[in-house]
Amino acid sequence: MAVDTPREWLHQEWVHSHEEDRDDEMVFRPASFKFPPSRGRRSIDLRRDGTVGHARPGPDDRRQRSAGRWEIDGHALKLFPATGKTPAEVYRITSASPDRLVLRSG
Amino acid sequence: MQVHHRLLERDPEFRLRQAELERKIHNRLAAGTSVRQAVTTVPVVVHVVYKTADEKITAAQVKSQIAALNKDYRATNPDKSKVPSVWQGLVTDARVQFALATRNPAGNKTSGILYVRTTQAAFPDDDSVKAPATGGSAGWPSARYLNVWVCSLGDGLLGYAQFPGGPAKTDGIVILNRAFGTTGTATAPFRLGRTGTHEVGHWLNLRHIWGDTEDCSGTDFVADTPNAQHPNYGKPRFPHVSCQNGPNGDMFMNYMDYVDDDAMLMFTAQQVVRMQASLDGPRATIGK
Repeated sequence: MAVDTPREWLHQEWVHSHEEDRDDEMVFRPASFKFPPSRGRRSIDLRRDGTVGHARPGPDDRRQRSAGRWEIDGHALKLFPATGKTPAEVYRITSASPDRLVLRSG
Repeated sequence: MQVHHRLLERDPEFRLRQAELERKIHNRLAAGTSVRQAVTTVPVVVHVVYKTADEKITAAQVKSQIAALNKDYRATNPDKSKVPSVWQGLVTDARVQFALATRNPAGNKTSGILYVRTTQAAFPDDDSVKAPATGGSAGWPSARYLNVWVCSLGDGLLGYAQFPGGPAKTDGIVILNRAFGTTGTATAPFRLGRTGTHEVGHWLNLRHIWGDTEDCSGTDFVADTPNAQHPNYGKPRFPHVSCQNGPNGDMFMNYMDYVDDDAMLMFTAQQVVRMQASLDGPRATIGK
């Protein structure tokens, strides 16, 4: 889907549902999704004000949090560091709905 | 990890101790020797922190975890035969084994298992399970014991650890009760005790094989594990190539990746050097 104008439901915390990944596609679900236990999950909190909160499993398996900015450019989701104009990560949004966000690298 | 970073910022001594340990490990890797050549037996105290009857796991379940650790750390786990042939030669005995403590800090006899009732339905990854004031159980002296807290954890987490050199009061590992041991409430795909194997690896200073970055720039400070981009989950098919590490790809069957219990099978020779360096350094009083 084209997401030139982010839909309201995109503004939430999305958690990596790695059990559902296929090939190079990563599946994310809302934080309220019933996830099975895992050694760790990445999440991205896409906030309305353009900031993003990241959480990743850290070196000792606790969650490691960091912050940055995000924007939608056509079908691309760009994640920027807290400072700087070069995106740290760029994903192609291959499908998006209120309960499922699918991203592909590049 | 937020706690790990917070400690590094708040406790400069922790940063210094970690830097000093890395320097010693570097020398050890260059020399290729360890001070301890014999097998080290680690005395373990297990704090079972429970609210419900299910969470009060049996002694048999606790002992099944100790047995699993002993197989994995002595490389006597039968499933090591599943390691791809290219890496069979790297499968290494860590020369570490585990036994429930038989004496408490006061010198009295103990089973090595403490049952502590709590009002907490689940604990976050913030060390609160390690203090009575926050509904947990106080650790035994970390110079002598490996403290293992077993409880319900929030956010679907299986466990977390603390590296050597951190505060004594929170030293040890925390494991979800349903991912602990190989019987009782242990639930597949985390029913082979490998969450314990992984967390003890951190306690002995091992890092994740993807180096804790997702752009190939990180390192696990170990030369014989290929550089990998991401954690691997589930039961990957060999080979899984990332970070130009073909043709064999990620060593996802290493205990320090994130795969299911039945997909992690080995430590390497250099990982064992790192673990033994921690037993020669910040954990020198363990098993002595």
